[in-house]
Amino acid sequence: MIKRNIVLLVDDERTILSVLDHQITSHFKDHVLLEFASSGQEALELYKEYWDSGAPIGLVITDQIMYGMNGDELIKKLKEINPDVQTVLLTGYADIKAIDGIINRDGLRFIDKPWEKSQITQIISDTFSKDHL
Amino acid sequence: MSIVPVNRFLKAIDQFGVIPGDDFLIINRKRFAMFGGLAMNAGALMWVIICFITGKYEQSLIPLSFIAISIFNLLFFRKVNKFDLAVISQTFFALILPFAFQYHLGGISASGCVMIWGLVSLTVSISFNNLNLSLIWLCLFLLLVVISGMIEPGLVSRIHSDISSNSKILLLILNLSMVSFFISLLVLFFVRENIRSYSELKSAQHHIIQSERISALGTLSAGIAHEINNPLAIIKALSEEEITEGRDIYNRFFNICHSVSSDQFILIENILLRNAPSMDLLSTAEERELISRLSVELQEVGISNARSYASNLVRAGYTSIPTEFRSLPENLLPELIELLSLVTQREKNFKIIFNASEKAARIVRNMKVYLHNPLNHEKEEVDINESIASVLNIYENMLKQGIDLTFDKSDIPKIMGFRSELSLVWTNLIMNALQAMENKGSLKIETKFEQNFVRVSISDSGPGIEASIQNKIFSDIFTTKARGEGTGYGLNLVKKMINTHSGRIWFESEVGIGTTFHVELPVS
Repeated sequence: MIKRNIVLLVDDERTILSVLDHQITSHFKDHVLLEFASSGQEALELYKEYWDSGAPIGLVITDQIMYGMNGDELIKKLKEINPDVQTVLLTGYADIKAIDGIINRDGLRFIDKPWEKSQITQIISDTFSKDHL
Repeated sequence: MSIVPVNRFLKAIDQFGVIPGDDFLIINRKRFAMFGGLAMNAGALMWVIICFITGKYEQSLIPLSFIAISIFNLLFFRKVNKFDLAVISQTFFALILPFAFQYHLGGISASGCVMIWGLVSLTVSISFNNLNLSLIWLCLFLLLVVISGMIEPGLVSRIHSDISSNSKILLLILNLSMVSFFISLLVLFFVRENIRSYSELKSAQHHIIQSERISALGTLSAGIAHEINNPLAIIKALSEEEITEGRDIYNRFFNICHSVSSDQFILIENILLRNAPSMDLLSTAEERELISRLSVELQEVGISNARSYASNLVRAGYTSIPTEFRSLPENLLPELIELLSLVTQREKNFKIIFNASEKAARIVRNMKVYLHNPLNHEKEEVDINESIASVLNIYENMLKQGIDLTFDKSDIPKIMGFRSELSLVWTNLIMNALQAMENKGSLKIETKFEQNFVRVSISDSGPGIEASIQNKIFSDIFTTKARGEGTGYGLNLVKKMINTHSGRIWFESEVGIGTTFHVELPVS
C-alpha cells in the first residue's frame, strides 16, 4: 500500500468543499488524498476511523462557523485523539473575536475568507514537505 | 470690571454642593437651595447692619446666629455629604427665626413685617423634592402668621417700641422689596434651569437613539460582510481556477486524440458528448460510499491507484463505470477519467459560481428590504413574514452557531408600516434573545393572524427576566449588557417604534425557562 498524504476538509456548505477539492486536486493531482465531511461530528468519526486504521489524516482544514459543532470545538476534540493533529481554521472576518482566543490558546493556524489558492496549497505543502509531494 | 468678582462668587456658590455622580435633578435642587440660602443670608446681613446702625446690638444676635447656623450647615453637612438634612435645617431656621426676630423687635408693624422673610424659606422648600414636606412648611408658615396676628395686640401694648412710624414704613418697604426680589429671582432661576435640563435630556435621548441606530447598522454590516464572504470566496476561487487551468482541458483532450485509433475516437466522442449522469452535489457520506464502491470495481478492471480514479469518476458525475470503458485500452483510462472529471467539474463550477452570485444578490436584496426607507417617509405595505425572513437571512451565520431556530410562519395579511423600523425591531428582539441565551439554545419565531392584528412571538430558552427588573426593561437606558455591548436603549427604541405603528409589545418570562416577546401590529 502506498503511503498517502490525507487531507480532511470540513465545511457544512457543500459548495465550499467542492471548491477546495477543485483547487487542491488541480494543484497536487493525486499526491494528496482528499476526504470530506459536512459537520464536525462526521469529521470526528472519519478522523477516528483513519487514526484506528493506522493511516492517520495528516491535515484537517475546517470552517469555523458550522451547524452543530464549531471549527474550534472540532479542533479541541481532535486534539483529544491526537495531540499533534495538524489543523487549519477557515474563517470569515466576523469571527476574529472568536479566533483571538484560540490563537492565544493553541497557536492555531487560520486562513481568512475569502482565501487565496496559494494559502491553501502552501499550508498543504508545508505539512507534507517531509513526505515528498 | 467690578462685576467680575461677583460673578466668580456666584459661580462658586452655584457649584458648591455639587459632587461627581449627581444627576441633573439633584444638581438643580442643590443650586436652587444654595441660592436660596444666599438670599436668606442677604436678609440676615441686612438686618445685622440695620441693628448696628440703630445701636440695637442685642437684637442683632438673632440674624447673626442665623448666619452662623448657615455657615455651620454649609461646612458640616457638606463634609458628611448630607444635602437633604442641610436644606431642611437651613429652611427650618429661616422659617422660625424671622418670627422670633419680629417678636424681639416689637411685633409685625414695629419690625416692618420682618416675618415675610419666611416666604424665602417657603420658596426654597421646593427643593425638598417632597410635596408633603413642602405642604407641612406651608402650614407651619401659615400657623406662625396666624399666631403673630393673635399676639400682636398684646405685644404692642407690652413692649414700647422706639421705632418711629416713618421708620416702620421704610422697614416694611425694605422687607417687601427685598423678599419679592429674591423670591422672583429664585423662581425664575428654578424654572429656567428645569427647562434647560429638559431640553438637554431631550437632545441626549436623540443622540442615544442615533447611536443605537448606528450600532444596529454596525451589526448589520458585520452580518452582511460575513454572509457575502462565502459566495465571494467561491466565485473568486473558481474563476481563478478557470483562468489558470482552463486550457488544460484542451491539452488533455488533444493528447488523448493523438494516441487513439479512429474507432476508439468515436467511443470517446460518445462519452464526452453524452451529458454527465449527474450534476448534483452528493452529500459527503454518499460520495465516500460511492468512491469506495467504484475503487473496488476499478481494481477489478486492473487499474492501479483505483482510489484516486474513483474520486475523479465521481467528480465527473458517474455513479458507475461507463460501459464504453471496457472497449478502451487500460492505459488510456486514467487519462480519460481525469479529462471527464475536468469537463464535468467545469460545468459544475459555473453552476456553483452562478448559485454563489445568486446568494450574494439575495443578501443584497434582503438588505434593501431591511433598510428600505421610502423617500416620502410614509407608511407602506409590509409583509411581516418577509421582513422577519430578511433579518434571519442577513444573520444566518450568526444564528447557525448553537441556535436551534424555528420560524413558524402563518398566512398573515400585509400591514402598513415602516420597513426599516420593523427590521430594527426584529433585529433587536432576536439579538437580545441570542445574548440572553449566550448563543446556545432554541429560538422560536411565530407569526399569527388574529382578527385585526398580526402577532409576532419571539421565544428564547434563555435564563428568563428576573421579577425585580421586569418593569424596567422597556424604560430609558436600562441594560444588563456589559459596557460596549449595547446602549441599553434597544427595547425602549423597539417600544417607541411599535408605538408609531399603533401596536403593542409585552413579554412573558419565567426564570430558568425562557422569555417570549409578543408584538402586535394592527392590520388597517
